[in-house]
Amino acid sequence: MKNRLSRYRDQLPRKWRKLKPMRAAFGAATLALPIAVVASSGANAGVNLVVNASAEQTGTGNFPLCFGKYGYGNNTYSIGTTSKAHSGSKAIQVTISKLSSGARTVMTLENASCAPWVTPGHQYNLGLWYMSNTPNAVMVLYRHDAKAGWQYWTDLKNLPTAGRYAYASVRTPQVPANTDQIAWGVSVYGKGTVITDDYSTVDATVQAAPAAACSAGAACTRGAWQVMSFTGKVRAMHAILMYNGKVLLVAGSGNVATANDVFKPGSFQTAVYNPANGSVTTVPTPADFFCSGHIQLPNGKVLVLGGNAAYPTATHGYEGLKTSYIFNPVTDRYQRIHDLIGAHWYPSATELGNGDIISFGGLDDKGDGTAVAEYFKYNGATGGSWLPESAINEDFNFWGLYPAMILMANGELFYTGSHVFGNNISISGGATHVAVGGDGAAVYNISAMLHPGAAGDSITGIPGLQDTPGGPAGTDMTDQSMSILLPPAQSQKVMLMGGGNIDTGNPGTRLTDLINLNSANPHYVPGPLLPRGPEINQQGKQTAKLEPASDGKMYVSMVILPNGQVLETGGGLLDRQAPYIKEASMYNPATNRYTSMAADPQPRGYHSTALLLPDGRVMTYGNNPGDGSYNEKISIYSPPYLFHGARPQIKSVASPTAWHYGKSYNLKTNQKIVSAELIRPAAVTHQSDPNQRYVALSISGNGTSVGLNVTSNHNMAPPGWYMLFVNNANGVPSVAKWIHLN
Amino acid sequence: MNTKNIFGAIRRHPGRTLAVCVPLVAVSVFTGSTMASAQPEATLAVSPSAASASPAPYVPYFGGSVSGETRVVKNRDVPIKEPVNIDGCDHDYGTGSQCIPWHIPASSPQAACAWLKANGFGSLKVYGTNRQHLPENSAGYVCAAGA
Repeated sequence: MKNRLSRYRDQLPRKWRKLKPMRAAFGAATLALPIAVVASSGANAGVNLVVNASAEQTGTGNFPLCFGKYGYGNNTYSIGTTSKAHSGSKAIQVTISKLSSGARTVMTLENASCAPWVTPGHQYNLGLWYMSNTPNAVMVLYRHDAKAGWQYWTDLKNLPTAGRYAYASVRTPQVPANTDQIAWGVSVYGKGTVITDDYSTVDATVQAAPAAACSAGAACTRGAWQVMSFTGKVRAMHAILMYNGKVLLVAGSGNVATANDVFKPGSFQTAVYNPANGSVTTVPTPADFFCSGHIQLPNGKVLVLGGNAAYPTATHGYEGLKTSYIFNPVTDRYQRIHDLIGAHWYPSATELGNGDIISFGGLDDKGDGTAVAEYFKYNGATGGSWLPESAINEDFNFWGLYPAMILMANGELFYTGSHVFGNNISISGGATHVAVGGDGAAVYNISAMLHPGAAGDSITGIPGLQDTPGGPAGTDMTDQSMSILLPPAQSQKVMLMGGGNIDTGNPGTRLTDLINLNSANPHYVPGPLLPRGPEINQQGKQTAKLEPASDGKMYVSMVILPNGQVLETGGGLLDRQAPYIKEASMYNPATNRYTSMAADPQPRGYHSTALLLPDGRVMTYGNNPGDGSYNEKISIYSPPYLFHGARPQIKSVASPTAWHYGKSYNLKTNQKIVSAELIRPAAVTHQSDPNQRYVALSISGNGTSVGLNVTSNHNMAPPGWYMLFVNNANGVPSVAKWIHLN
Repeated sequence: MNTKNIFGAIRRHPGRTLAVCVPLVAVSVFTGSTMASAQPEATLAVSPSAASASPAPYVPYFGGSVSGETRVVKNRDVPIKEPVNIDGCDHDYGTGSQCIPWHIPASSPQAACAWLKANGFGSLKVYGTNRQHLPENSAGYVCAAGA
C-alpha cells in the first residue's frame, strides 16, 4: 500500500509536492486508507461481483433488484427497504415480530443475471454492512452446480448484534468443481430486525506457493507407512484419542483364551500410547472392558460403558456388563461410577448437542439383545451420571449391536445401517423392536426421550441401502461395515462403506452407500465401488494379486483427514479369516472419487482400529483372526500431504480452552491459509465411531491473522475437545492445536 | 462564511484546501459515505439482553422430510432372543477366544480340517456337539492328527 501511494505521489507536479499542506494531505490520506481497508477487510480491493450492491435500484415487487426474499416456518415477518442506509438512500430490512419456527432470508437472487459468477478453486470474500438487534442472524451461502442446479452450501458466520452499522466479512470455502455461481445473504431466525446494505463479493483466492519438488518418491502421491518397532502391549479392540494427544488402547480380557477357557478378571490392562515419543505405558483395567462402549465426555474424560461378563459356550452367547467407568487422562486411572440400567455387550455411544451421551443396543446379562436405552446426563461441574430408568422415556426398540447412530444437525439420530454381528435390524413394518418402513436405516427422533410418561419417539425408515434384505443387492451385508459423517459435517452427508456377513462363505462387499441428510427427501444412493486390492495372509504375505472383481472388504476403516478427504484402509475379505485386502485409498467427498494410496503392510481385519493423530498422521492397530491370535503391531501412515512443503504453523489462537458456539476467534499463522476445521478425536471400535466428524470453520480475513467463525449449532459440533487444523493453498495441513468447545 | 467567501479562500489557499479535502474524500471513498449524503447516523435499538445473548443454533431447513414409514415407538421391555452364533462362530469347538466358522467353507470334513489348518487352527476340542461332523478322535478332539 505504501508503495502504491508513493507511486501516485511521484506522479504529481513537483511544485505541488513541495507544498507543505499537500504533504500533510497525503499523510492524512495514507492514514485514512489503511483504516478504511481494515474496516472493509479488503472487500474493496477487487471487483465487487454483486449486482446492485447498495440495493438502490428497484426490481420487481418494489424490492431491490437482484435481491430475493426467502423463508419458511411459522412466523410473522416483514421484508422491505428502509431509509436507514449505510450508503445511498436504501437498505434492506428484515423483521421477525413473532416466531414459532423457521427463518426469513434476503439474499442475492439465484439466477444467471444476478448471482455472482465464480471460478472453481477460488475463494471469495463476502462482505456487507449491517445493523442487528438479534443474535440469531447468519450469513448463508448457496452455490449453483452446473449439473445439479442451485443447492444449499453452508452457513458461514453469525452476525453479532450491532446498534450502528458494522461490517461483516467472511471468506467462502474453495469453490467446488462444477460450481459456476454463488448466491448469499443473511438469514434471520429469531425475533428482531436486521438491516443490511452495501454487499460485496470479491475474489480472495490465496495463491499456492510455488510447488517445491517432492523428493519422497512414491510417498509424494501415495504416502508412506511405518510399522513401529515396538508393540501396543495389549489386545485392545478400543482406541480413543485423548486431548493430551495420547491414544488410550482400552483392553479387557481381549478375547484371549486362558488355561481353563474362562476369562480371568482382575488381570486386565489398558495401554496409553504417546505417538509423540513412542512410549507405551500400561494401567490397570478394573473390569472386563472387552467389547464395551466408549466416548469422550465434553470435559475430555473417557466414559466406558458395559463390557463382557462371560464368553460364549456351545449353547449360550456372550453376556454383557452393566458397570461403567470414567478414565481420567490426567491421572491415567479409571474411576467407577454408578451402574447402567441394564447390561450391555457391544453398546453404541453417541454424544448429543448438549453434551449428554446416549447409548443403544448390545447383548444383556443373559446374552439376549437389549432394548434398553441408556442416557448419561452430562454435568460440567460434577461430570454427570447415568440416568435411572424412571427418568427416561424408554422406547425399548432394539437397535442391534454397535448400531452406528450419528447425530444429525437437527438433533435427531441417524441409524446408518452399520452394525456388528448378526443381521441388520428387521425392516418389516408392524413387528416389535424394529425400525419400520425403511431398508435397514432410520431416522430416530429422540425428543421425548427425557419425558417419562410421554408418547414414544418416532422412527422413520430410510430407503435406498443396497446391501439389505429387499434392497437392490438383496443381501444383508452391512455387518462390520463402517459409516461416517463425511467432511464437512455441514454437508450432512453420510457414507456407508463395505461390510460383510457372519457367514464365512460370504466375501465382503464392494458396495458403498451415500445419503445427503440435508436434502428434502433423504435416501441412500449407491456410492462408488470400493477399490480392489491384493490378498494377503495373516503374516502380510501376498496370496493373490487381486481380489475377485465381485468382492470388497469388511472391517474397512474410514478416517477423516485434515484435507477434507477420507482415508479408507485395511479390511478383510471374510469374517475373521484371511485373506486380508492390502489396499488403501483416499476418498474425496467433493469429487466422489478414490485415489489409490500406499497400503498398510499389516493385515487389519476383525478387532482392528484406525484413527487420526494430532500431527496429521494415521495410526492403525490390531487384528484378531478366528484362531485367537492378536496383532499388537502399530502402523503409522503419513499421507502425501506431509511430503509437499512446509506445513503452516498455528502461531496462536484466541481462547483455545473456551470456544463458544456462534463466536469468532483470532488465529495467527505463519502462512496464509485456505481452510480451517475442527476434527473430533476418534473413539473407535469394531469400525464404529459414529461421533467422528470434521466441522468446517469459515474464515474472516485474508492474511496471516484471521478470524475463525464457529457454528452456532451444537448438534453440528457437540461440545468437547477438538483438533484445530488449518490448511495452506498447497493442501498441506498444520499440526493440530487442541480446542475446547463448550 | 458564505459561498463566495469559501471559493475565495480556495483560490487564496489551494494547498490548505487540499490538505482538508483530500483526507475527507479518501475517507468518504473508502467508507462509502459522502459529504453530500451526510445525515444523522443510522441506529437500531438493541436490548441489553439481545446484546449479551448467544446465538441460537441455526439449523437449515430443506423443505421436505424423510420419506419412509414413520412409527411412534413404544415397545415393552422384552429382550430379543439372539442366536448363539450371532458372532458367526461355532462355539461347539475350540477355546472361548477362537472362532470356528459356523459354516466352514469346505466341501468335506477333511477339507474343513485342511481349511482350519490353513487358517491357523490346530486340533480343536469339542465342547458341545460335533455339529459339523469333523473327524473326531477318542479324546474328543477334531482335526487332530490321526482323527
